[in-house]
Amino acid sequence: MNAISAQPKTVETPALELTSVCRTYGEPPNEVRALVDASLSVARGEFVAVMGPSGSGKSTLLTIAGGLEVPSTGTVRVDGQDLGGMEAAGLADVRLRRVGYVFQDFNLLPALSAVENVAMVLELAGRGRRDATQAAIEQLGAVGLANRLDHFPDDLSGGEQQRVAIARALVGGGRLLLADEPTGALDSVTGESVMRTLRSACDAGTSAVVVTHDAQLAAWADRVVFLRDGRMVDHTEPTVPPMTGLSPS
Amino acid sequence: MYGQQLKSEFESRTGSFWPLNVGQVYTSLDRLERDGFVESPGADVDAKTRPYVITAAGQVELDFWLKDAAPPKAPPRDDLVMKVMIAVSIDPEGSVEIVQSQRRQLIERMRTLTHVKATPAADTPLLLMCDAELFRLEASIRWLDTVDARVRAGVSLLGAPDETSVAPEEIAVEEQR
Ligand SMILES: Nc1ncnc2c1ncn2[C@@H]1O[C@H](COP(=O)(O)OP(=O)(O)OP(=O)(O)O)[C@@H](O)[C@H]1O
Ligand SMILES: [Mg+2]
Repeated sequence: MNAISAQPKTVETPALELTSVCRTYGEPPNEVRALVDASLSVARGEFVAVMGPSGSGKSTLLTIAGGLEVPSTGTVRVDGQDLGGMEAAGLADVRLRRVGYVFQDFNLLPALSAVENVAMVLELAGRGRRDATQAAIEQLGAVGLANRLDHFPDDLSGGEQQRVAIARALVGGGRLLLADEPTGALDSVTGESVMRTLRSACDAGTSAVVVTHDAQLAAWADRVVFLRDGRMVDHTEPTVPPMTGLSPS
Repeated sequence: MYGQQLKSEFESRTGSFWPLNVGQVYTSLDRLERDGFVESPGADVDAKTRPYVITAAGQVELDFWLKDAAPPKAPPRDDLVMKVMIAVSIDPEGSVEIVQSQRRQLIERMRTLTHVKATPAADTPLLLMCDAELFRLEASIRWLDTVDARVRAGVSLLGAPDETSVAPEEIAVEEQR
């Protein structure tokens, strides 16, 4: 488990790199500076949590990182690819193959079952149906939903829908996971088990940026970044010892 | 059960966070025996060599103790609360940075405990102890978030009367309705 996280994380191309990103909404004098000169580099296998008060720019940061919004100024690179000036088709491809996004309101397709919602991502990326379904079943098992595979979103509880959305973002592995309050509807033990799943996905090479108000969940991350009024005001140091191999003292 | 055994049972069941002094254990056993909550054969033999057994009255008392809430206490003296309140009283705007520094350090402490939870060796008592400490730290962080929001909203924490404060007469009127 710690084979990857024990490696130095800076030698490779970062999974995500934001450089001096600004995002302004509206016109003066009513303009809102949602993000001001934000720079963030997330290494492969790194798990970053973003915290900050309501309106501090957390969701804006995430949507820009995922290519769902464009920055007013600054650059965004996913796996070294600059999203600025990319054609719509190229951007759609990055969103499909390189990014797994968990929305605050889940965004599941109501006409598809849990397993179909998850498998769809792999099928759209060209994997065969059987293969995709098998991977989806495993991923849903990892978030504790092995017995809800054929349920439709309307027949799932809020917390279960949230976990399907997380499985959809993780399935297949290797994509950059961007999640906005991914445990908002979960009780603390279920939330922790989702964080353990995320933690082991990152130890296996997934990179993640997770927005959360919940300090207990942020404590699972390698690094916590604090936003305030659109600015990154502070961060914790990256974890020195890997998550595993530490003993209580 | 022997005193030494009792000590190690207590420690392993509570995540080894509170080491017990074995002398203290014998003193407590003595008192429990006097009150009839435990009994032991051969009262004149040294306490160290005697096994103790809980009595029926002891069972009843134990059950009561487990269910009974701890008596209310005055809030414990809390360094964090003191420091932040002093910082806010000196310079509300400048306190933002102090609050953030405290918040970051609390999160770092939470991360260390979370590392402990992530170890494969973490058993249930250890997980429960870590959880208890994590909830405590989280409560402090939420308090800091609230301080932040109140300072930002310009509410005077010093209680200086201002236009928004409610006069005692108004509360009385409110209650009569
Ligand atoms: N499309 C938009 N048009 C105008 N203003 C916007 C738009 N999107 C966001 N904003 C503003 O930008 C600021 C940052 O918003 P953002 O959604 O990033 O905050 P947040 O940190 O995610 O907050 P929360 O914790 O409440 O979700 C807010 O003041 C918000 O009102
Ligand atoms: Mg948001």
